[in-house]
Amino acid sequence: MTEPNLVELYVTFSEGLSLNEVQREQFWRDISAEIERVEAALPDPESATSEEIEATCARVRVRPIQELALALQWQMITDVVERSRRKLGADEEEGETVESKVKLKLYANNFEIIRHFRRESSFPVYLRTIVQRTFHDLRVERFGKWHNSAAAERLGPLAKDLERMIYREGYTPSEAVSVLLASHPEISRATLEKMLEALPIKQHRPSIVPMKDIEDLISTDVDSDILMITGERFRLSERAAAVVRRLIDELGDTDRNLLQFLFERNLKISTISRMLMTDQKALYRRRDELLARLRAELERVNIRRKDAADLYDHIAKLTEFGFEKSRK
Amino acid sequence: MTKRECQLLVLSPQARSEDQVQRFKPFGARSLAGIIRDVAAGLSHRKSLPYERHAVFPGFFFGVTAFDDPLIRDLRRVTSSLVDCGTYRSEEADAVAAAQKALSYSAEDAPDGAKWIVLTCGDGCGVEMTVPSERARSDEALFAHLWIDLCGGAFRRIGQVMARRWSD
Repeated sequence: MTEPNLVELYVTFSEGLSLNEVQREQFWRDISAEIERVEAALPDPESATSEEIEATCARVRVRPIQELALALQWQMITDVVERSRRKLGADEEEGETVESKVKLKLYANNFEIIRHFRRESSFPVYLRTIVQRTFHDLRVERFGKWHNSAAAERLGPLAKDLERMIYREGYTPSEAVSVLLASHPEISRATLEKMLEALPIKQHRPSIVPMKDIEDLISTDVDSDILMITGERFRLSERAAAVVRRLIDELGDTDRNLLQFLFERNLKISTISRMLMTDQKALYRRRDELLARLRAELERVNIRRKDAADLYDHIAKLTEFGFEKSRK
Repeated sequence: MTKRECQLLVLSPQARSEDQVQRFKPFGARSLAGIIRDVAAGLSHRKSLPYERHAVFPGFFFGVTAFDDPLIRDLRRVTSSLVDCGTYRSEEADAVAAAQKALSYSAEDAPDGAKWIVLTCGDGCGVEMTVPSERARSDEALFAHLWIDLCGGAFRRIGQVMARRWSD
């Protein structure tokens, strides 16, 4: 077996990580600087034994050669992540997360990924594969594994894109249609809408949402805390639930279904419209009428609008609204 | 030639005189003279170096076949050698034999690693050297070898230990 050779290692990593001429020279300077650090730490470098040199390397924490080379390619990692992010239509937060994960992966287990790089492709191509897999893994981690429905598979690639955009990437149906119309000018809006109708409704998985995206939605009113501390919230919930139950009892099946879809399953009007095969505008009008009626009923028993907003989740968790009854 | 110059014996059919050595491009891209200049410039920041720069040994080039005592004495003082693998493929049998003889004078009695010989080889030839040597296959590798030359024996040995450590 041949003795490992410093210059050959330097050339292998320079070529393997596709360093350019300037980077290669810097890489060699960095290697040389590490050797000089060890040399300076040895009492008598000229007569030092291999064991003494080895011990000094450990003591001064010589940086691994992979790290020296990677440090010069840091910008390339950022560039490859950014290109992949744009191609995959991921947002900036996802891009930043992937960049950190890729850098950690490259460092993991003493640069295992780099040591296993067999140079069957260039390093940027190899890196692109790692980046794309990391994007994929992140999405699986956040949203679960994605499978197109049988209907989308049957309808073809465009339907699969449409389904993925709406149910995985969080586009509204109209946004998804607009995006696809822009990238496929040969397809008409009517065709896409017909495709959309043929796709089955999928439930969104619960996912982690950054606090900054929802801070406006979180009540900061001190009244909420007071309600919780005094136990008044529970009593208010009971009163509000009774009002809601009474109202629901009085409603017909269509109105009950509408409220159930809106508040129990969190569906959008556009989705409900397709499910109930009802005009969207009519559904919006009906929703507003029902909410106005509910508000009036609540105010009649002295539950203010602010209290009702705070109670909404609490009521939903604790109280049977009466939707189940409609299913029986 | 000063004491701080590292004498470099250059053996190549493309470098038969000092003039030709100046234009010699071992791998067809960067000239040897340019690489030597860059190495010296790159190390100019170092305070203690055994050598400041390389100086091509002017007493022997490929094509010379006669040896006298002063030449043999000077060859023994040469610090490093750079051998083009094309030397061994040359059809000038006398010149090839003389080049090998010069190389063996240069490496004679030298402790292991004290006389450094680099074989420049850009075509993956299978030439086996009869003296301890390393192979450079690119300008970058040659640059690194010449750099190590100027930094001296301790630097070279630490580099070898680090290479072993990094290869584990």
